[in-house]
Amino acid sequence: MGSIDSQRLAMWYEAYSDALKLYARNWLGSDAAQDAVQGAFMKLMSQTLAPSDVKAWLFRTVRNEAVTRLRREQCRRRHDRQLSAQQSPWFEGQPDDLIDGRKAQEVLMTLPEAQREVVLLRIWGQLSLKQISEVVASPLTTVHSRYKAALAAIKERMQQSCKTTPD
Amino acid sequence: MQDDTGLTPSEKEIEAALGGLRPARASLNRDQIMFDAGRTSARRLNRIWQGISGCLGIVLLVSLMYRPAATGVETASNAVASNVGNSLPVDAANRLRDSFHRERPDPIADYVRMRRAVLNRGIEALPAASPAPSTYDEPLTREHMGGISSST
Repeated sequence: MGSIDSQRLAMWYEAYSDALKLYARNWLGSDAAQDAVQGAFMKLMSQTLAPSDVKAWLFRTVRNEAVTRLRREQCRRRHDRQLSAQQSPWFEGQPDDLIDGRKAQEVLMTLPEAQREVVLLRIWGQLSLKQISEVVASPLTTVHSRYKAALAAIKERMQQSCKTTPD
Repeated sequence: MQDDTGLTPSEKEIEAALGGLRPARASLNRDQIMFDAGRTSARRLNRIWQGISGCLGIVLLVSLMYRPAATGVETASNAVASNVGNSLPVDAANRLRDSFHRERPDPIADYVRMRRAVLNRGIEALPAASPAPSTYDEPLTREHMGGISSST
């Protein structure tokens, strides 16, 4: 643990803000996800000392922010999220990507929320399964099985879409 | 990713392919975050001062509202009686207060009573002999009067 200065804050911001926003989009639309991430950084700055595991702390705070916002705006949730998903993609399209970003987003949206959360934290949040189990407050074995199930489902759906998509 | 134990090669392949995707840039304004942080910090400092001044105001208000009432000037007898009364049971204090008032000499009343008796019954009404009064407060007797008249 140490004090929070502007340099460290800028470093954390550069390192985690994109992944945090992607994680928040598990529940929220683009703008609300951005607000949740901003709220998490605001909370981090209000801490006297930096948390021992800043990355896990940020993901957990974004999760709490997102769930709070979700409850507040329960009625508008589905409509907003669908609209937002159409408007702003989750991933930046790169020419050398092995998987199309929009396709990956579609497949991820078909997963159960708990599985999708673990995939987002693991692959783009770069958290260990132990850290994920702390963030989502679930046992390590549960997290592990969710992750494996999600990967299997993604693989299956990707293969299905490859078969159905004409070249 | 550190602890990827138990994944099959095909699962690792999927993981790597997904990991190649870059999340869309968060369009957060870092300057805005810094500004908000500064504003929040200043607001917190203001709240501390507002809290302190509010507490002091409440203390002042309470002290003005519940000021003790002014007490009158105490006479010596009341003060003695009340002081005694504070340290003794109530009936003992009352008894002491009564005896205090009873034992106090009232020279004017004594004089009036004696004058009335002398006017009715003559000099015989004066009290029997006793030693000469040490103070002017003690009543005169017949012997005193005789002593006074013979000396003059």
